[in-house]
Amino acid sequence: MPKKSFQVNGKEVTLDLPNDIPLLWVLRDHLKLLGTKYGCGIGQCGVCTVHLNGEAIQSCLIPFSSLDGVNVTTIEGLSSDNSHPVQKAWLEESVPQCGYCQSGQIMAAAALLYKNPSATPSQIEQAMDKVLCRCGTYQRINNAIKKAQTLISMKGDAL
Amino acid sequence: MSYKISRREFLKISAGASLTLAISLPAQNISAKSSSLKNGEFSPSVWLEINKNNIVTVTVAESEMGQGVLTTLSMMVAEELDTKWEDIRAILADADQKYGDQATGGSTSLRKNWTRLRMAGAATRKILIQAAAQKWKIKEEQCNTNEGKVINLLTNQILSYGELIEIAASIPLPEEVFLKEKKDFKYIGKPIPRLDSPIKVNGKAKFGNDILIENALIATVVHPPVINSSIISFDASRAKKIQGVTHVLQIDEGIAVIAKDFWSAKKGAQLVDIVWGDKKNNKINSAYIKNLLTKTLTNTKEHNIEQDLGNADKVIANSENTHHSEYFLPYQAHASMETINCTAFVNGDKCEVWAPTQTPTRAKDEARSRTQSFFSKIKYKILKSDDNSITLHNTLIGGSFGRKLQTDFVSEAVQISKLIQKPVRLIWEREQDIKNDYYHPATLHSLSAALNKDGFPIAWWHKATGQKQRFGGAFLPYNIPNIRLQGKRISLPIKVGPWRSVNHYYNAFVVESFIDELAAKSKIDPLEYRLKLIDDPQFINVLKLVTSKANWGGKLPNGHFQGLAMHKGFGSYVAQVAEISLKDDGSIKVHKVTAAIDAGIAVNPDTIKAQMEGAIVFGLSAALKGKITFNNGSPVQSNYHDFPILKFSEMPVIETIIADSDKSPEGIGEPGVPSIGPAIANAYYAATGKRAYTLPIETS
Repeated sequence: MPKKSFQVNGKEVTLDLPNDIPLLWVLRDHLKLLGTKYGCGIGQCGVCTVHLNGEAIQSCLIPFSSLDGVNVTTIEGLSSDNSHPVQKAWLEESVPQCGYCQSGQIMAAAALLYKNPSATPSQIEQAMDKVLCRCGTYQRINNAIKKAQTLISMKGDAL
Repeated sequence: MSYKISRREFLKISAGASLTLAISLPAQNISAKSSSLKNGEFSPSVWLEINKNNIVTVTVAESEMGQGVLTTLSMMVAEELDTKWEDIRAILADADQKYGDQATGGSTSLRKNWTRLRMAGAATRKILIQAAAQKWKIKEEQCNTNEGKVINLLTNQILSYGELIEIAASIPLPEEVFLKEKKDFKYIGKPIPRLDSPIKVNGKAKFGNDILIENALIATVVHPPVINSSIISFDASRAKKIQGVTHVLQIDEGIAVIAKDFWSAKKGAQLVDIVWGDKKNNKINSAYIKNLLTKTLTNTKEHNIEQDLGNADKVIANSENTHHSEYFLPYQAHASMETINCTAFVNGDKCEVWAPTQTPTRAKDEARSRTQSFFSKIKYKILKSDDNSITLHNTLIGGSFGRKLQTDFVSEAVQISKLIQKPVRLIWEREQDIKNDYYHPATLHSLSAALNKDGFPIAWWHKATGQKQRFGGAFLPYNIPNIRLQGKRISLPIKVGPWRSVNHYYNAFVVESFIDELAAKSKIDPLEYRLKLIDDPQFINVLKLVTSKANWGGKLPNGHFQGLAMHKGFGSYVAQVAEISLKDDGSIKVHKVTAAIDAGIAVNPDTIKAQMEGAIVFGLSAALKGKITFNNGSPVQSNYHDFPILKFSEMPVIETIIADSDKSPEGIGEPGVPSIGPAIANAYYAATGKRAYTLPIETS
């Protein structure tokens, strides 16, 4: 098995795993980072969304073989004290219901705002369409993203 | 209002470090109004504990699946206890006989806890006041409380609840307590943020499949491709070549593949060569089901009559102005984002289970039945006391909508752990989850009506059939002198079960679609038509609230159309107006949904709004997106690509109006689902002149 070294939430990790194991299961089963969730395994639901080199990706689709040298951020790396503006906004808008998809929702929103803090409604739609929520929290997600945009632009909250 | 406390209802248990109050209630659910109970077994139901640091821990025996029950139930305790909200902690109870039958369903959590939880808070507050009065050597009346502190009204001295727990432990329970009037509520009625939000925003929330037990293996299960087909033989040699696969075993439900991680288990599961026998169910397909439904609906001689008011059949037969429609609703899957999972560790006759379950009691029974020998089970049945051998922890649930009322996953996890003699975490792949659901059953309905010269119905005849078909929600709110409801269930080996709003979902669709058809036939505005036929003030109120807010009958943007529907279910009245337009391909774009709900006293208005948003999205997915069909004895759909649910960009603006009320709280988890489908269908008719006789609406 090939060894791969990469960064997860700022820490260097080196693992020896089969080439085809997806990043999702590397995180959950081998690094015990359980904040990233399994939903569909085929890139349809987005609840496993994490950042790979700053981009929102569905971790169930990224094989171990492609991880050498990459930089991964999971919900645990966003902030553990909910101080990230997207997390703050999520709390202010009382977004979660069951909460299972919310790591994926938050990581998708955070990646969007890193790249484009003033994303337009259609850019928000495009980014957030990739993450499903069966509880139906979309309206609050939308409000929270707008609130996060305000926190970033008016109060200078760091992403 | 004063409430008497029966000593058999409440039981105070004291300890040095903390004061605990346990409420005893009979095992069966009680009416929220009943404050003194007579027969039945009494066992503690809800625990409230205060420690020396003033922290109040409320143990919630309900399941938290997103509906906010941890927060809402704690608010009711905090209200009467008069504590600081910041000092409240809520935890989920394990399955235990002392909580009675633990099952969360039917939107009942608030209804069954409204009186008893407030009484628990009030009784505890009274004891703490007595403790302070004793210490200060003054009268109770010379004390008051404020946010976790007792105040001496003579000297303004203050003692925190935490400082009083030792004295309080020696004080007997009060014989009666006074509960606050609505006007005095401090927490109830306020949009208090949920207690479980922070851990759901930083990834720390632990759902069923986040339970890590030392040395646990991961399992997944291959289920029969054709409903109920049996296993003749299987060959695990290819599967076992996958690195990490440790066991391949047969259990009652299929073949379990166990490995060191999920990925190995999944790969192994694809490589087990199974010879399936007994494929008699492969004749089942969607046409077969539709044919069986049609035959059963037509064969009226075998129907059961559920309601028979006047002579609906004769009036319709003899009337010149009649209307008839048939509606079909397909099977639906739950498709919670969290797939089915369960963690179990069987050790001899003992078993510990961590399950995301709506029914801790039944899940525990299932674990017992799968763990123990015949003799141990008999011993338990006779003694009813050896309950320590089975432990069931109820975890946060990552969406359920009725699915996790079943216990099949507990059965599987316990069987596997027993066979491998190690702890196991069972995780179903999404494909297993969609294909092995307990589906919402398909139903077929025939509706007939006779109209008077003014165009209003004088007879209504509803025939219905389906697996487990019921008429809840079909009993009309409309004043019609002749009504008949009749039907018969069909028998099929497809597993079916409760799904958010259950039978109210299909019955509201047919009733509210058909009444809209009658209004259209009579060329009367759908709002005016309904108002002429109802006299229930709560219905009239929600109709008026919603239509006024939605600007019903007013000017809409070009190409926009509205549809109206109303329904009462789970104790609550709901009316909704959907505003839609048609896209270039003829499909529906929902712009806005305005909803009014009368759910009695709104304990947490923000939770009510969240549940209405969730219920409407759930209903929109069924009205516009996915369905389950069958072919060759197997469900066709397997994942979100072929069982789509509503996406972010398809989300309408949802505005919820909560009717003011002084009545006891009613259900909020399900009441928003039933009326959104017909509201969309009625808007589609307004837009196109075409009726939707099925959901999801076929627009092409």
